[in-house]
Amino acid sequence: MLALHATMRSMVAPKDALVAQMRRGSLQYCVLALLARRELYAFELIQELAKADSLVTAEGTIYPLLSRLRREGAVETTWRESDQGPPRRYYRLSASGKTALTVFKNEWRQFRTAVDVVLEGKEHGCL
Amino acid sequence: MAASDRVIDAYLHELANALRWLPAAEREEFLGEISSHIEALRHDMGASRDDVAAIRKVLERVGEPVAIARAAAIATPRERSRFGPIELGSISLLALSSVLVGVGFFGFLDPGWIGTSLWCGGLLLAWFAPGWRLPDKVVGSLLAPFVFLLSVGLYEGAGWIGVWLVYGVALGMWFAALHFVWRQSTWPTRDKRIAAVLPALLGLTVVFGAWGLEMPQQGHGVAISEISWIALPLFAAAYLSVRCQLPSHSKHWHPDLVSVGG
Repeated sequence: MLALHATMRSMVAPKDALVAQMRRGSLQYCVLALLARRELYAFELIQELAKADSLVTAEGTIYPLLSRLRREGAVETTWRESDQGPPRRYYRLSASGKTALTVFKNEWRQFRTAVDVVLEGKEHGCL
Repeated sequence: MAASDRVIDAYLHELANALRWLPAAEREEFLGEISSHIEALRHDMGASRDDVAAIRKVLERVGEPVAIARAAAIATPRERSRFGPIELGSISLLALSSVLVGVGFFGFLDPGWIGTSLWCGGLLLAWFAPGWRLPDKVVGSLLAPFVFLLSVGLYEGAGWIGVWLVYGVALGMWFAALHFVWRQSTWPTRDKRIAAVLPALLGLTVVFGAWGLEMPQQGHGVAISEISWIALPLFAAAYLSVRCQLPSHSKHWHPDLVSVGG
């Protein structure tokens, strides 16, 4: 009985860890989605992301993510002069980033529906 | 220096320390980006240079250096060697065949069958290795016979100069390829070392070869044949080591291949 209780307790992740886990899979696509609307430089992009609750807890952690997206060719960049300081690197969505975003959007809709069906006990098509 | 500047310097120093495992260029790039971000955030939040508490709030938004380093570790691909065990075996056999043939000049071993069998073994492994695409396997296999026939043909037409011309060009191409590989930041150091060992082996075998040429009982025709047996498998080994690309290094961006971020 004690063992069962301990197992149940270990399955309940702390709220922060739970949100971090969900954010991990979706954050990069939120970045791509923002870049699909318009070209942004990193600071602008992070401030846009930060407007959405729970998406960014530490703004500095977005830079490694942007670096990876650059390396993987999901985004393209251009350096532009700025009136308010050093040149800025502007990010825009590449063709492969666009494809990845489309794939994610479709998968996300299906996944979200599936989870809602299970969580809320609703039948398919009734949501 | 304002007190807040010291706080920022200490933060950046801590971040640099947390990122010390990154290559210097990448680390500097991150530090520059984070530094600019702090400046922009400070401006955005209206934090004055004298207000240490406000600067601490800015840094709180940027995040703990350890958290940024963790995000960088997740976003940085692990350096996986492009040489799997079969690829290494293949390249080693090809390189070894040259050295053993070189030793054969001194009469310890029979250069003909040892060289041929090791060369065949190396190529056989290459055909089973996942690290090379079909065109690379074909070129790797045909490289030795092609250069050999070319050198023999040129010997017939242009004599000794023609032969050394072929070997000179092949050597030059090899070193150019290795120089190109050495400049690639995506190659792990271990792989570069593997590819760079081969020139050393070649140097060794050329010495053996030159020594063999001076053997009074050997005519030029025999020498060409022996030198070819020594050097040609090395050209194949070098070509294959430069072209090796395990499938896990795919550069194509697809959601399924993306690990995690942020």
